[in-house]
Amino acid sequence: MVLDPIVDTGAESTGHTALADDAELVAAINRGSHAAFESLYHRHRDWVVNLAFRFTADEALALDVLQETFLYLLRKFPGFELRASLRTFLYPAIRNLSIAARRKAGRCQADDFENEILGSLPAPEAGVAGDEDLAVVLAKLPVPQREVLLLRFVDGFSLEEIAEALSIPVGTVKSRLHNALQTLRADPRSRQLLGE
Amino acid sequence: MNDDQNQTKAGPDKLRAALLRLEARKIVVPPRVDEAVLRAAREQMEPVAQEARVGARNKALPSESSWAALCAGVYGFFTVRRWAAWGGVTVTIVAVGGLVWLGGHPRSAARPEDLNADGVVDMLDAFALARELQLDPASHPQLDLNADGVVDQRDVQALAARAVSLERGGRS
Repeated sequence: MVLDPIVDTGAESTGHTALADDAELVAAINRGSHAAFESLYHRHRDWVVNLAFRFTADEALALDVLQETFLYLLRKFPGFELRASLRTFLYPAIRNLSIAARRKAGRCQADDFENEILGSLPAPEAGVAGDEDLAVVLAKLPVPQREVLLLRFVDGFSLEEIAEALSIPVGTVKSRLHNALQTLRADPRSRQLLGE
Repeated sequence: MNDDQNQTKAGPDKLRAALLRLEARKIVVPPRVDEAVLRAAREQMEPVAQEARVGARNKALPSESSWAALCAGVYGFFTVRRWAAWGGVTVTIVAVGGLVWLGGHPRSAARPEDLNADGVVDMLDAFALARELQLDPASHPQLDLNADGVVDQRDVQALAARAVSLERGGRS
């Protein structure tokens, strides 16, 4: 497979910079520090709720998922060990809780949720020319490719973090990202965003 | 080649910016959600924190049983000197063994009412509860002593009454 310069040299992970601090907070929570949990909650709350909204496309469901996610994290204490970044750890939980929330709300069929979860991107910001086109092109991407693309460029995950979060090999992450970018390059509506 | 690389590098920046705009919808988290999560955390953390405090204190101070065993050991030593009898040696060995064994065992878990974690439930804890409830009414959900569903001034009074009765009947 041809290496894609964007795939291989793109954005650096934001997770690594926060890892040390998160690890310290986790250690303090293991000792029973409520203040440390509060810090951790406020540090990741907005990311969690926005990610949940990406999966559910429903504000009330996203707020439910936010609560469930942190209650799930809370149940890991004491004795929780942070082996990767916290967001890498939380991502599958948010994804699964969102799927469960949508299923419970009757918004997706059990057999089809994989294709449904990323099915609705938020409406583009009004007045920004070209974003509507990008949304249309993104909607045509296969769900696994779109998920990797958003993790990489919106959430700032490294390739390794994406692999960890999705439990897939790094090579699969690279090929999904490469294919997604190829599709964007091939489409005249999104080509200019890749400097073509 | 460099131009190609620069162009390619400029690409994801524009793509990233466009994707971030698409994902820019900001969801406002209502305070009730924050409170629900943090209250659950507080309820779960409090026993762990109490245990950690008690554990630290037990490590620093020998227990009453350990002091008793030490005294028995000293007594046994003088018994040996005075009587030079095997019985004294036995007492010494048993006492020192007891000291080692008891010293490594924690005291029983602290009571939730023992807010200042000094091992005693007394008026100081009632004052501490009153002060902490003023700062954060949800700070001690486990101290709903009158079981009316809220922790408030009535629970402070209940704790004070309990402390007085405990003091009359001996320290807890």
